[in-house]
Amino acid sequence: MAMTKTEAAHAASLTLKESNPARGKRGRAIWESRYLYVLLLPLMAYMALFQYVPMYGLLLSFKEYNYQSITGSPWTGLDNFRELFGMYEFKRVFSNTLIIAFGRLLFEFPVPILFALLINEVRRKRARTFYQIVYTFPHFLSWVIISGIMLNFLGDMGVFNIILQSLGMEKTNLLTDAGSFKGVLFGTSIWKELGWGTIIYLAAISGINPEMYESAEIDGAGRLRKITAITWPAIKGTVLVLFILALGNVMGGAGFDQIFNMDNAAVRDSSDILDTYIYRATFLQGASFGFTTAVSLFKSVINCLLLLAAHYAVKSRGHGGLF
Amino acid sequence: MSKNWTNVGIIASVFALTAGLLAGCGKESDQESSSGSPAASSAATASAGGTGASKPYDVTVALWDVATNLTDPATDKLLKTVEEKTNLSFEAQAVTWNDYKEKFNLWAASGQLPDMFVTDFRLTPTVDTWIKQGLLHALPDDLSAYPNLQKIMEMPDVKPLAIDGKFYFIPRLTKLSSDEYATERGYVVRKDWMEKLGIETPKTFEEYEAMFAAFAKNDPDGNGKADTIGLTHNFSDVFGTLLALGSSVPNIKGWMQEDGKWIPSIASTGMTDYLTKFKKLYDDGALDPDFALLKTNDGMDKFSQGNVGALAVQISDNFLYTIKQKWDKANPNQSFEDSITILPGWTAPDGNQYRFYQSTAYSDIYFSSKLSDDEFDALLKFIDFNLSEEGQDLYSYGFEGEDYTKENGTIVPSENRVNYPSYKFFIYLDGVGHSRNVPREVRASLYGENLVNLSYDMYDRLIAEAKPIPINFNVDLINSTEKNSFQSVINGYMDDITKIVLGSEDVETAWAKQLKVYEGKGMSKAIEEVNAIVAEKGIQ
Repeated sequence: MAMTKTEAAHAASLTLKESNPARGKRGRAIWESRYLYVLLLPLMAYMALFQYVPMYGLLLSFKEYNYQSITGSPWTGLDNFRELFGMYEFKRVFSNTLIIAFGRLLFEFPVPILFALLINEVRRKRARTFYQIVYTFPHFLSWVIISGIMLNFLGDMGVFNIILQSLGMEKTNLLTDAGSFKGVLFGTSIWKELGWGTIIYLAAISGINPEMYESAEIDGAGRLRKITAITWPAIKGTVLVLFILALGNVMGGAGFDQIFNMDNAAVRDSSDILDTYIYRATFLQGASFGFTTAVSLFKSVINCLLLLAAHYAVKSRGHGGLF
Repeated sequence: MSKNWTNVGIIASVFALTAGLLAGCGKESDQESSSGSPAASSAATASAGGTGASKPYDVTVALWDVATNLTDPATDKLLKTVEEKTNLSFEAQAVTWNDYKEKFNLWAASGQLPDMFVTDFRLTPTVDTWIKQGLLHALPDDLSAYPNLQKIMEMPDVKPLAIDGKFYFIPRLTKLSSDEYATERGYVVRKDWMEKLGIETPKTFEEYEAMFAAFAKNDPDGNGKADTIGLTHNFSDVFGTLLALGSSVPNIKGWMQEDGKWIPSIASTGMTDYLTKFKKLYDDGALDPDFALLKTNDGMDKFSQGNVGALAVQISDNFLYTIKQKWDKANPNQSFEDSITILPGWTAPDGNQYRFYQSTAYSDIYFSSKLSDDEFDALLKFIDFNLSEEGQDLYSYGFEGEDYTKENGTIVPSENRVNYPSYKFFIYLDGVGHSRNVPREVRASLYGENLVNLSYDMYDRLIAEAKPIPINFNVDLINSTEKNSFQSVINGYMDDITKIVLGSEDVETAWAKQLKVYEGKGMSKAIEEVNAIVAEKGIQ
C-alpha cells in the first residue's frame, strides 16, 4: 500500500525525532501542517472575539453598572450575590431550573436513541428516509411558532379539547395548569427535537461494519440480540459523550426559548427558571444589571462543575470522557 | 490545480473570513459614532431634502407603534409639513406594546436610547436609575421660550413629579383633563346577541355575569356548536382596572386610606371582593378560559372574528374605530355599528357607579442626554408647537382648504379628509387630538358618526352619573425610593391575580399568601415611607 501524504509527513517527523531535540520536532510538525493551522485561525478569532472577550462583562456581577462602561462602574464586592441568595424567588427559581433540566435528561435525552434504534430497523430505505424527514422537520420551526401552534392545539377551543369532548371527557387547559405544564414542556420539546437528535446516532450506527450483523445472523442472533450485542455497544461512546455535554448544559439547557415563549402568569410558579427570571427582572422590572449578571455567573459556575464531575465520573469507569 | 494555487486559495479565504468577522465588530462602532453625533450625519440628508435655510436635525424617536405611523415624508404631507416647520427629521426606532419595556431597558444599557422617547416608567426605580446615571436630559429651569409647554409643566398633577426641583420629562398628555378618561375603560358588547338571547341591559355584577355566561353557553350565534366566548380582554391591565371599577378597590394600582393609614389598594381587605368576582367570572365560564394566554390586541382580533360576546377594552371613538376596521375585514357582510353597543360596567359594592380616572398623563416623553443644546431646543419647540392652538388645529382638523373649510368661524370637515399615517404619531405623542376639545363632527369625519355618537353619549352619561374612582394624586404621585420600588411590584399585579384566579385555592387564603410575598418585596417599607411623607407634608 502506498503511503499517503500525511503518513509520509508523520514518518518524516518520526525520523526527525531521532536527530533533533523535541522543540525542533514540534516546530517542524506545525510547519508541516501549516495550512491546517491557518484554517484554524478564523475559528480562533471567532472564539476569542465572541466567546472570550465578552467574558469581561462578568465583572459586572461584582459591580453596579453605571450605564457608561463596564470597567468604569464602581465595585460593590459580593453585594449582588448576597441579594441573589436572599432573594424571595431564589429557592423556587433555582429548584425549577434543576427539576426541569434533570427532567429533560431523564425524559428527553433517551428518546432520540430509542428512535434511532427503531429507524435503523426499518428495512426499506425510502420508508426510512421518509420517517426521518417527517420527524426532523419540527426542529426547523422556532419556539415562537410552536407556541402559537400549541396555543391553538391545546387552547380552550383547540383540537385537543375537541377530541376530549367528543370522547365524553371534561375540557382541560394544559397550558394554564401549573401541574401539567412541565409535562407540556417535555412533550413539545421531544416532539420538536426527536428527529434532529437521532441524526448523530444514526451516523454512529452507519459506521458499524455490516459483516458483524451478518456473522451474528449466522450465529442465530435475532433482531433484539443484534441491537443489544452489536448496535448498542457501538454507539455507547457517542451516547456517553453527548450525555456529559448535556449534563454540562443542565442549567442553561432548561430551555429559555421554549419557556419564554410558552409560559404565562398562571404556570410561572412551576416554570420560571433562572434564565427567564433574569430576563424578566432585567427587562420588565428594571433590576440592576449587576445583579442579573451575578445570577448568570452563578449559573455558569454550577454548569462547569457539573460538566467536570460528569467527565471524571465517566473517565474513572474506563470510558473516554471529553478530553 | 497546482498545490501553490490551493495554498493561495486557502489563505485568501481565511483572510476573507477573518476580515468578515472583524467587519462585523466594526459595524457596531460605526453606528455608535453616528448616533453619538446626529448633527454631523444629518448634513448629508439635509442637503438632499433641500428644505430650508438651516439643515434639519436628525432625531430618533420611539413611541408605541411608531414604526407603522412614521413613514416617508415624501408621501405624508402632514409629516413633511411638521418636519419643515420644526427643522427636524424624525427617524423611528420601533417599539410596540408587547416589547417596549425590554427594548428601553436594553437601549439604556447599551447607550442606544432614542433622542426622544415615550414610555410609562414614571415613578419606577428604572427612571430613578437613568436619572442618577445621567442618561436623561433635564428640562431647562426657564421654560419661557416655550409658553405652551410651560403651562403644562405647572399643572397640579405634574408639579409633584419634579426631582430636586428639576423635571426630566414632559408628561405625555393623553387627555386634557382627568375626566376624559371616563371612556378609557368599558365593554364592547354584541347587541345582536343580547337581542337574540333576550337580555336586558345589565346593571349589577350578577346581571353582567349572567349575560357573559349566556354568551358563552346559550349558542348566541345559533350554529349549534359551543364555540362562543363570553367575555375576553384586549390588554390585561385595561381588563384588571376595568374589573376594579365594580369592586371594593376601584383604584387598584394606587393608594387608599384604610383605618387612617395609607396603604396600596392591593393590601386592602377589599381585594377579597375583587378576587371573588374575578374568579367567579372564570369559574362560571363567563370569562374566556384562555384569558391568561392573550397578548395585547389578541382580544380585539378574537372579537372581530365574531365569536366573542363582550370585549373589555377602551370605549373611546378611536378605539371603536380600530375594532371596526378589523371587524369589517373579517365580517364584510355584517355592519359593526348595528352589531355592538358599549357598556360601562356594574356598580361597586358601595353603591357607586365608578368611571375610570387618572392623572392627565400616565406616560412621559423623555430626552436622551446625548442631545446637543440646539437639538434639544428644536425638540422642545416641536413639543411646544404640538401644544399650541395652531398645532392642535393641524392635528385635529388637517389642512385648511383640503381637509376642512372654515365657514363663519366654524370648522366644516371635508368629505374626503386624508388620514395621514403620521397623524397617529402626532396625536399619540401628546394626545391632544384624542381629546374632547375637538368638535364631534370633526371626529365623525375620522371615525364615522355612529361610533362617535355612541362614545360621546356614553361619555356624557358617565360624567353626569358616575363618580371618578377615588384617587388622591398627592399620595399616588409621591416620588420616593421605597414607594417607587414597590410600585414596580404592584405593576405586576395581573400576574399574581391571574395565578389565583386559575388556581384551586380559596381566594382569601391565596391572597393572604400573596401579601406575604409582597411583604418580602418591601411593602411595609413603602407604607412606612409614604405615611411619613404624608405626615411631614401635611397631605390631606
